[in-house]
Amino acid sequence: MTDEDEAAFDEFVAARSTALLRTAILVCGASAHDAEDLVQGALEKVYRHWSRIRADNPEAYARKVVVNSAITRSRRRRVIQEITFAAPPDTPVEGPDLGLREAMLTELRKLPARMRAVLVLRYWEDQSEAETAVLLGCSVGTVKSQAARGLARIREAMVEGVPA
Amino acid sequence: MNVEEALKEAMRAKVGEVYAPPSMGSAVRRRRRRSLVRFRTTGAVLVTAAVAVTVPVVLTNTTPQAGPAAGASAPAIAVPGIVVPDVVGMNAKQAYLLLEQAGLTPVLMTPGEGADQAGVVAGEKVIMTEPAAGAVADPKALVQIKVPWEPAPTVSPTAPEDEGGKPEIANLGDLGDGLTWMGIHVGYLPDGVKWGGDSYVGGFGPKSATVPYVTAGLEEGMYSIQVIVGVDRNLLRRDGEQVAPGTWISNYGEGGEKLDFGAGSTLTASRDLPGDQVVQVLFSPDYSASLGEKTALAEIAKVIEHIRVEK
Repeated sequence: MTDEDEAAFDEFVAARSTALLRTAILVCGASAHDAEDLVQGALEKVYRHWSRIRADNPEAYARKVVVNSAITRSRRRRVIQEITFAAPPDTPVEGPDLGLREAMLTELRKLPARMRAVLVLRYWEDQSEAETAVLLGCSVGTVKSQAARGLARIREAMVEGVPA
Repeated sequence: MNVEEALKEAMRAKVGEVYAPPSMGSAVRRRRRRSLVRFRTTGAVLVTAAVAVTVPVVLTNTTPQAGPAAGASAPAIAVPGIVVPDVVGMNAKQAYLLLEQAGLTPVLMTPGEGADQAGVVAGEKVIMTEPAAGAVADPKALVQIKVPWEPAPTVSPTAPEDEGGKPEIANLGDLGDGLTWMGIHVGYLPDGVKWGGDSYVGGFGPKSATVPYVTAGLEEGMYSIQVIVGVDRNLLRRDGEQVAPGTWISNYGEGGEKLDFGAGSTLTASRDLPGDQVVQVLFSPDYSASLGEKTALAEIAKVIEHIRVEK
């Protein structure tokens, strides 16, 4: 790595790490702290190959690494969550006083990791269907169907979340 | 509002006030360095990386991490204003953009005209904002970004110490199985760990050498287990747990401080060999983590125990 590479990496991190962190939080449903660790790990991969990829859309590469490790991590978390949920809660999970946003975010967290990633990339990051497909390594058709199913479930939560 | 917009709004409420800390770049490099083959000592500890890295200095004269991230996971509450993000320590330009993105009006305070003659220029890193991070400001409110005044650069005194790339370092040549070198023999390595073909001479004082051993799939320049031999007594860390006569094991951080087993530390064993040699064995954080603490401890003890002086 030349000094110029190093400087360019700093600039890249300064410009992109907040966006990557936000996406990571949304996709893996983790705390900001956990997500930070994940983003650091992803950026370390970027740094490792920096001199090679800096000219060739490092942002897309970084996003891909972040999204995929967030999916992996959220699957790991899911196992733990499911064990926790196995015991019936004393009170209904969704109280009537939870706001609409909270209801939607809760529903978002309950979606399968990949479906959630599709929604985050499409509606938070404003990625096109084609870009999302490339990032997740699946077909455009899959992105479409996953987005539609995910949105349908969020919509249900929206309807339920609105106080009568 | 349709469902897409509502979802986007909910997402914004969840993460819109989360900012990556300014230390992200240095944290990434630190992480990278931890698993790089080491071949230089600074005082008593082995901390220097194989690749020259410039770590950005982060100012520490204000409370770090006092950002709005703390409230990120709180339920969405309508706040009639914008929480000023923590930009202290950031590059001024970057802080400017971030404040702008947050919906505020940043103003960069510079030393002004004549500052050059006075021998000072504006530094790059933000030392404070007015209002401070965490304060609630009205949308589009002015936020002053303040940078320190620094002595104006005269002649650049910086010696190009390491100009990137790999420094040229002598090696031990072809070591065959890589187990016998510098008068010692490594009699035991855990399953799946073997010599990767590298060696470095002289990185740890006179009559020293180091050889990294790797697991399959590891990239160039990384180690799983690294063995260091030398005559510098500083290689012998006696402050760990003594596991055998003349043998100590502990975990050390980047600055040589003792830490618990974990991703931030390097499992290190050192042993006083017969004669004037000292040997040190390092398990990289990644490798240690793959074994788990108990196995890693048992393996490192076995590796160092089975190192013997060759006639």
